[in-house]
Amino acid sequence: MTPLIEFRNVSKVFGGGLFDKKRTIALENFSMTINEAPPLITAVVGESGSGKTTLARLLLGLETPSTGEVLFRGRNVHAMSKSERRQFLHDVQFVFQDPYGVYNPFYKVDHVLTKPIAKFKLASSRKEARKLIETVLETVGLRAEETLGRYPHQMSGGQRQRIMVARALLLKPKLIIADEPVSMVDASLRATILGNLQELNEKFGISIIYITHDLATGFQISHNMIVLYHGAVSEAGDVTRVVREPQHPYTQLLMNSIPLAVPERLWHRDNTPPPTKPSADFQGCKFANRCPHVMPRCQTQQPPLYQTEARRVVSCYLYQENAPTLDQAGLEKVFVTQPTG
Amino acid sequence: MSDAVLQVRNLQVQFATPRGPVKAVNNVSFDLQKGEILGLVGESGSGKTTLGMALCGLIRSPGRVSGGEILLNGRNLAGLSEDAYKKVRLADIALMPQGAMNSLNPVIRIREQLLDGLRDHGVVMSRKEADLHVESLLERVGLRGEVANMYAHELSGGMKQRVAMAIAISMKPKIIIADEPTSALDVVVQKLIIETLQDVQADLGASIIMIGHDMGLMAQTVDRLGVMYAGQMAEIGAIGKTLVDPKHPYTSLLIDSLPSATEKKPLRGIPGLAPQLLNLPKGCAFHPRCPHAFDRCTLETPALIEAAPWRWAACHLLDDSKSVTDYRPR
Repeated sequence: MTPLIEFRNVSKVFGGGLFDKKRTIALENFSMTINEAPPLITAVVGESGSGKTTLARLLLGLETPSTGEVLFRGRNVHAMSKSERRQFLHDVQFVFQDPYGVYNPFYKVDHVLTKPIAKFKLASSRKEARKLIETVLETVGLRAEETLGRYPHQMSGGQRQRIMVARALLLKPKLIIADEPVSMVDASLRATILGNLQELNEKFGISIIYITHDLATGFQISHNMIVLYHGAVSEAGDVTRVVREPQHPYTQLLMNSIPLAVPERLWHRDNTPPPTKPSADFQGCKFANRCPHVMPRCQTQQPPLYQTEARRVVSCYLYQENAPTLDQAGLEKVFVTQPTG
Repeated sequence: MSDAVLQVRNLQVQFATPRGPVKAVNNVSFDLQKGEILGLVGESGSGKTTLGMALCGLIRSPGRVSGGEILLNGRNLAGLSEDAYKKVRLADIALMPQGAMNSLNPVIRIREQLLDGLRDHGVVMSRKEADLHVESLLERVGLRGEVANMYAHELSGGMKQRVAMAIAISMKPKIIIADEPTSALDVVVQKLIIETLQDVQADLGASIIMIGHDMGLMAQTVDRLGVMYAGQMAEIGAIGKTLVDPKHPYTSLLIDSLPSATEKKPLRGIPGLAPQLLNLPKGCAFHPRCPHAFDRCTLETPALIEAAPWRWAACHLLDDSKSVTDYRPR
């Protein structure tokens, strides 16, 4: 069976020629396959500048990879015919970070729902279209009579984001890419929207790529997790393993920075290293200048992916003993393949 | 009580709208102790930002402070003229506005923005003194001296937030109001910013009111927490006790809605929608969404009562149990 998504040794470099100092490596030699069945949720985690949004844009065909190729159901997303592209835009839906910016304030919110129906001829009559809209709104917990006919400014950020999730569902896509869907939404509404996404995955069999900087929400809804740092994979695998016992010093830093809602003060002053950007021609581990365990070797050569467990790889020399390196194949080797209860 | 730098009493802020007046802040009272960090949480529209603005005298027409007192060391600021409030702002109460990173002027160097407020307050400095002052401000918030000559677009989000903090402390205020100081920042940067804010506070001996909606951030940062709902204070008390034993159902739902990083559990949001301030439900504003609502909640607005020592909540459920508050030292 052809996989749903395939990244084959994809790199993306922004910025000019060979001697341009402002060259930025947004993604480096990234390989991964996500199968169509069973549908799973994959979290891509990292701070700003980690390359997580570039990854999504490459997948959508909005960026062209510098090297390597991105395939969707066996077709290169950059070499699709017009009809293939059309089908692709039907099968892949996107939920953006900003629920305020995606709406045209002059149109009622109905517009974002009726447009795809017309474009892809999802309904044969007005009545059928209305029925379809009512059903998808209901799935995300909104009542049609309280939602339709309103303008975007009359709705809360949480409601708007749920309409975007409903719109994505309308097309019954194979894949939804959600880029920080809850970072601009009230904390109390986050759970509802994440719950909606989870439901789309479980009930409608839609694969989801969930892009976030928040390990906690990633942990709650995903099956697999990829931690990116300046374009390179630091750690990847089974989400429960990665989040419960992070092995890479960067994942550990992210975990320790999460503010937990517990009465104990867990935030210790451990001289949290401030973010820095490694230069593009630096050959060592990109995290070396922030790492508390840095060794001379880290400065000269980037560590490969060590497979420390059946369901995890870590790119760190701390684990070079007893752990085989993951060869050319992609991250799917360590991914969970079945959803667990 | 004597240590309170700020006492807010029955504060009301009204906005005139075509469909009638809206109470964005409705009868809010609390004390801010010297050197404490008080958190204010609530969903969008709960009035937390408006409250912060009111304390800084920044409510503009069609809004106005329609009642109550803001006592800064005993002096009532409510109803002060704009000219008089100008002297208070920055010198006594400083605001780090929401989205502070976007509050910087893009065409003026950081140095000038740091000195702007001082000049406005009539502080006269020689060029050399000003340079030293700018340098020490930047150092305090963990920035290099070179930042002074940069423009906002040359800085990262975290650095801009630090500049906003430097502006806020430029006159050593007694109270800093930080409105969502870390929204839109990464977790690691968020932690660094909060650490700096705490350092600065310890340095100045100032009190902080931190406005936000992330319970986790509050848990790790503040000393006391106020929970706002529909312009009213639903609960206020020590953060540790509030997390373990919330007195208001809204508080406990807020805590439960937080995704945990340690165990997988079903995601639960707060049911229902935020109330429309123009058309508040009768009785307790939270009753349509409250899992424990009973008849009385639909009729009577609950008053803020001391549910445990130094902990207040506005909920009818507490009324019956008032006599069994064995939290009270006997």
